[in-house]
Amino acid sequence: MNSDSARTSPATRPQRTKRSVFAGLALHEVRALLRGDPPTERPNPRYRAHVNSFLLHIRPRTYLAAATRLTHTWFLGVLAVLLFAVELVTGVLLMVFYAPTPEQAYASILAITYYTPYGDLLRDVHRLGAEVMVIVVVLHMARTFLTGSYKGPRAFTWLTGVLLLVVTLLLSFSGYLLPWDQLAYWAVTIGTSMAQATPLIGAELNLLLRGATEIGADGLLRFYLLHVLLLPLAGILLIAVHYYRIARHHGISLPAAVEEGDLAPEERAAATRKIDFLPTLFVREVVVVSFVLLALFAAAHYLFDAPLEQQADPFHTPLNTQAPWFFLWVQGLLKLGDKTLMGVIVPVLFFVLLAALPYLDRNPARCWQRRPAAMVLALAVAIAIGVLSYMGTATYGITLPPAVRIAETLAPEEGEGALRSLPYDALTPGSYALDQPISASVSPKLHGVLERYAHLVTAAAAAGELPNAEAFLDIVERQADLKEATVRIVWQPSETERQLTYTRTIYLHRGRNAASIAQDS
Amino acid sequence: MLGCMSNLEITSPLRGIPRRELLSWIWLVAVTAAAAKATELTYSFVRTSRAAQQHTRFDAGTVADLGAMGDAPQPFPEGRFWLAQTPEGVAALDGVCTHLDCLLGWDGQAHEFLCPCHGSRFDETGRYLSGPAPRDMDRFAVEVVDGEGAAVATTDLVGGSTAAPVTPITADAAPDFHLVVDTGQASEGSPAT
Repeated sequence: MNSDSARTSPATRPQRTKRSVFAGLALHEVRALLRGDPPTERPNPRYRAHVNSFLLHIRPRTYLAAATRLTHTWFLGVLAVLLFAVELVTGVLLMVFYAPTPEQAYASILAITYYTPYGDLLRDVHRLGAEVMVIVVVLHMARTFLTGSYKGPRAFTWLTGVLLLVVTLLLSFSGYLLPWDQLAYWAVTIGTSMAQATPLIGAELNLLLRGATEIGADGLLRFYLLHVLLLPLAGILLIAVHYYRIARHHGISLPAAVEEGDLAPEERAAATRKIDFLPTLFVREVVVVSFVLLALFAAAHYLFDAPLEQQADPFHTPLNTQAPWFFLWVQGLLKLGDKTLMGVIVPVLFFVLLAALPYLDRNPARCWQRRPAAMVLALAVAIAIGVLSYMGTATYGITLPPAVRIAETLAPEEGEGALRSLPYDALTPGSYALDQPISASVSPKLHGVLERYAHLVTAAAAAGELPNAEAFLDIVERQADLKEATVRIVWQPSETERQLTYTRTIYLHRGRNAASIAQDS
Repeated sequence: MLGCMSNLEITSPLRGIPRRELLSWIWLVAVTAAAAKATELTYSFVRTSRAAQQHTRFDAGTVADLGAMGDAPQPFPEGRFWLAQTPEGVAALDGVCTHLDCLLGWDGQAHEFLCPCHGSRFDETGRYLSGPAPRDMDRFAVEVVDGEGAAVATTDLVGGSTAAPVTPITADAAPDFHLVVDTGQASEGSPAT
């Protein structure tokens, strides 16, 4: 049937409607395409679809077979775009209930988590998706580096990729403040203070970001606008430029072995054979996207809880304040010395050198075996980032007083800790002195925590940190579904000095681990 | 429009530059100027902070409430400062770490201030001990006022005195004199050595 007769015959109107939905393809053609069958009409209507449809016209009609091998690309580019899309969709949904003011932000996150249908899942997917996106983008970059694909005509594409990495990190960081909890507030205080350490423009930059001398309503609104508008727009623009260069300028790189290797003519012919986007690659992408989405939602539902600490308190910095894991290396750098050098100059220089890599690396070889200097340098950078990240963790270089350290293990100011991780019913009310035998009525899980507590105190006493220590745990049911747990450690530094006491109290609610804290030392 | 004026002789004010090129230059300058002005407008707009930081004078209790020399400094969380006895007198130590603005905590066992973010430590008078902080803790102005509200001793931040001398006052047995801390007036700590 030609298109003219289709247009004139009323009997085929439904068919025409379907054709317009599927970019000019008839329904039987769509079915054949999804099954991987050859085209049902002549000329091949699948090529026409690339002209008819906006979404398809940005995809090339054909790819080189070897360039799309799973072991070459690992679908990392597709996955990065997929996660960006997941973040956009879940982000817009979260915006329906989120209120970017210091008075309402925390409460709106609680409302999303506990009182909105599927709100908990949405927030978990948004947070997990953001973290997985950082991993995927870094892996995508590592793959491009290892296969030498950043060289030659792809130099500028690599540069846009580095900018996309920066946008991804900034998106994650700007989203960090929005729940307005302690972790967010202090991580962003540190981040903007680092901006202040920038030579010449630091003070202005800090003022621009915070909107005041300290983070408050203005700072929250500015981070919100950056997070929901400016950075996503920058991301969309950069993805467009990045992808346009791949689709229209140079295509996905061939594996180095095909481009540089000594292949037999028939092997080379097979590797550079053209394969159609429709159906082969399209179907592969649909399968990969479906499985990754399923895995992401399943992981968010069963394995992951987006963290939420106490509401932001501008008058108290919690212990164990720690940057998000992908910025731990910067926190490690900051512990090393001057904030302008370590907090601004070194990280900025790192990203500038990363972006300039294809222009600095003059070795034309792509195969990793023939790039020893680049490989050694990459390994050194990877090890340095690993070591710096370890140094950035909250426990490195920060020696807490022994009693506080033990209280942090059992009932930390922020985060879960041994007591909050117990099921509510396992918290058997009672007064427990650690030098007395533990009563048989205590739940086995609480028994385990008490043993651990006793072990920590004994070890600190043996090390001379807490001489003559006695330790207690009191659990009281204050009201229905609310228990109060008090960790109390008493010690006497020497015979002549008075006794010292450290106390920490936390509240545990049934069904949630958010807790309020009173502490006394 | 120029068509009807084609019989008029239009000469460039700058002889030798073709008219079209001159117009192109004018366009370029105009567009650049407009873009620069738009950037400046945007910058000035977003730079403005809605409210200036409110600095307050805090009543930090009476001279009698002050601890003895060597005691732990007293925290005033709502003003983000600590009152400490130093050999020069009473000092109001800014509780914000001089490294990256985290709030310092007190490590009672080591008798030192400890930054929970990057581990800087300061002694009980705010002097830098260890860690990445670049300088001693900053100090706020302290005034000792008598029962009628008149200042009897103050820090002289400009003159370099960062503590109010209260020892002579306590010696004069005036324990009901109040200490007032002004967080609007601060002096930076000395660089770490």
